[in-house]
Amino acid sequence: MAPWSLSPHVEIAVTLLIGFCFGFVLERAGFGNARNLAAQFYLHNMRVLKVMFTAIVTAMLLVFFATALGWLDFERVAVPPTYLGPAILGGLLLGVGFILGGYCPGTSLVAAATLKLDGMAFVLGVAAGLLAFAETSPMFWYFFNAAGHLGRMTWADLLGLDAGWVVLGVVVMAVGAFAFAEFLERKFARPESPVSPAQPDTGRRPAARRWRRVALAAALSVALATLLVGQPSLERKVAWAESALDASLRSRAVHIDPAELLALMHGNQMPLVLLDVRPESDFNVFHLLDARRVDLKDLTPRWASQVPANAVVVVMSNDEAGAHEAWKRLAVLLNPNPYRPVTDRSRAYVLAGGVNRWLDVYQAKRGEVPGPDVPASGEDRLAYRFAAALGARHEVARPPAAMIPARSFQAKVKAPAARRVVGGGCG
Amino acid sequence: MNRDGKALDYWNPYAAGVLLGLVLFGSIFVTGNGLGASGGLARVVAFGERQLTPDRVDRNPYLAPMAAGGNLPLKHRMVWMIAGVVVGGAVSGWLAGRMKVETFRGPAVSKGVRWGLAILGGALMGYGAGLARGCTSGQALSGGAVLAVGSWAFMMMVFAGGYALAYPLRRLWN
Repeated sequence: MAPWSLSPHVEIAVTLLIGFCFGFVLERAGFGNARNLAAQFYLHNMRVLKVMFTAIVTAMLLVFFATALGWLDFERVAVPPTYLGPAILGGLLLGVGFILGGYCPGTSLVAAATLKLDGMAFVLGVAAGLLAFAETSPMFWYFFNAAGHLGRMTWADLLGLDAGWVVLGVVVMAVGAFAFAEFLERKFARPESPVSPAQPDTGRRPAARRWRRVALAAALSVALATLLVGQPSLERKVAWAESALDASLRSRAVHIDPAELLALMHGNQMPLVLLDVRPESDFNVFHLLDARRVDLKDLTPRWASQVPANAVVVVMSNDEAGAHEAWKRLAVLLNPNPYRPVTDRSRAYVLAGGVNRWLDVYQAKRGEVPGPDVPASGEDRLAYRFAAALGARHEVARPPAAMIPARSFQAKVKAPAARRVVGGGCG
Repeated sequence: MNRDGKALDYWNPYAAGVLLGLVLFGSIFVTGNGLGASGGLARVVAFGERQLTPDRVDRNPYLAPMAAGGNLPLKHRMVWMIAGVVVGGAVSGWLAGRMKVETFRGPAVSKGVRWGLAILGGALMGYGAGLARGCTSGQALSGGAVLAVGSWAFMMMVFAGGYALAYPLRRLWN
């Protein structure tokens, strides 16, 4: 499942190749020529809008079609985080710079590479502007980092719709924009316009028309297919990964001993999130200190985004069945790559034997309680009776640290590795 | 270059757009990241400033993550990307017969004025790209394709800024 984790050398080669294609296409699109770019703002040559919008629509259709089919994991695709204030102000500055200078940073590199002196001057200007930004940004650092900060936010997130609807909407909008652009080009046509005569912008040949119809039909069918399949729900992602997740559970690599959990509770070395998936009645009768009761449906991507990146999550039920279901969701939600065996990658763990085994060890103080590699056999019911619903106000909700050495265990929890921060395109 | 020794035509804009979209999708699909240009330039700037005044870089919150201490500003994918852009643009321009020293400008503007305006426009764009965390490639194109809210707001503002000044500045280009 893409995107792939590339080794550093492969990544350099791939990025150089992508940059090469990017530069090549920009040059062939006419973007190494400031007059083509500036013409956009005088309405007689809408090349910039056509190329950019076509590129956005093409890439968008393929990205969301691939994510719907499960070929691409959207969670690991870099979405530039939204900072509305800086985006709006910066966008205005770019627009003004565009009309004054005739390029944008990428196209000026292409112009400079083909020996255009104005392109070289523009590149120098961009460098000076970036330097000026670096030196002055501390003065408005708060604005830069907080104004309209919505984080990773797509239109689908904002509108609460399946991304397929947004994709379809953008395709329809693009078709309208292209029709309007063609209309403006005819209305504002000028003889000295740098549009070359062989282009369909001026001579509308039937072949070009046919191609347009084919492209439109293809775009609409991909958009409709994306909408029909839908973006994968958590349930679908869990189903895709089911066999690997079951294998991890069977290997017992993610099950931790009650004593290890007690050590974690006293350790204060990493943030610990305790999740209790039992019914509310059981939870009220007894639960571990600081455990939070959750239903399966509470475990959503929004919830996962609130979990600290370095936190270890331990899930428990009375025995193990409920905890296993929750763990599969957690593994998908919290794992950077759940489509590989999860054993050493996950930061979600299951309390082996659940609350019942915890009580075996710390309440009943049985000597022969099995270790974490032995599955619990019960039917996920609370095996102990309490005189009152004490919740966490029970002495074994958090036994004292002195109890840790009473039971030997092999530590399985690893400090979560920092997730590789995927940078955006620019900035 | 075609047989008459004239430069090749530019591609049909829709065809070029589809190809650009394929490159963008390829980048997202394989690496998880889109395209970009200003990010690489920012790193080159950080590298330059570090050679001159490393102390300033260490204290600057924008440059420090790229270039302070042991951070190597040029060892980054965005720098490889702009290296590729320069080579790709040069190869395409060379094959198309457009590789020649010249200055694109409006008929009413002298070369000197055009260069000055290119530096000024570039500086505004560099400043804006720093502020918006990306330029037309990284924000508008790459962010637009993954439907990022901020990227679309940014893109609309770029066009708004351009159109707002297009009429007063029409002598520059026409």
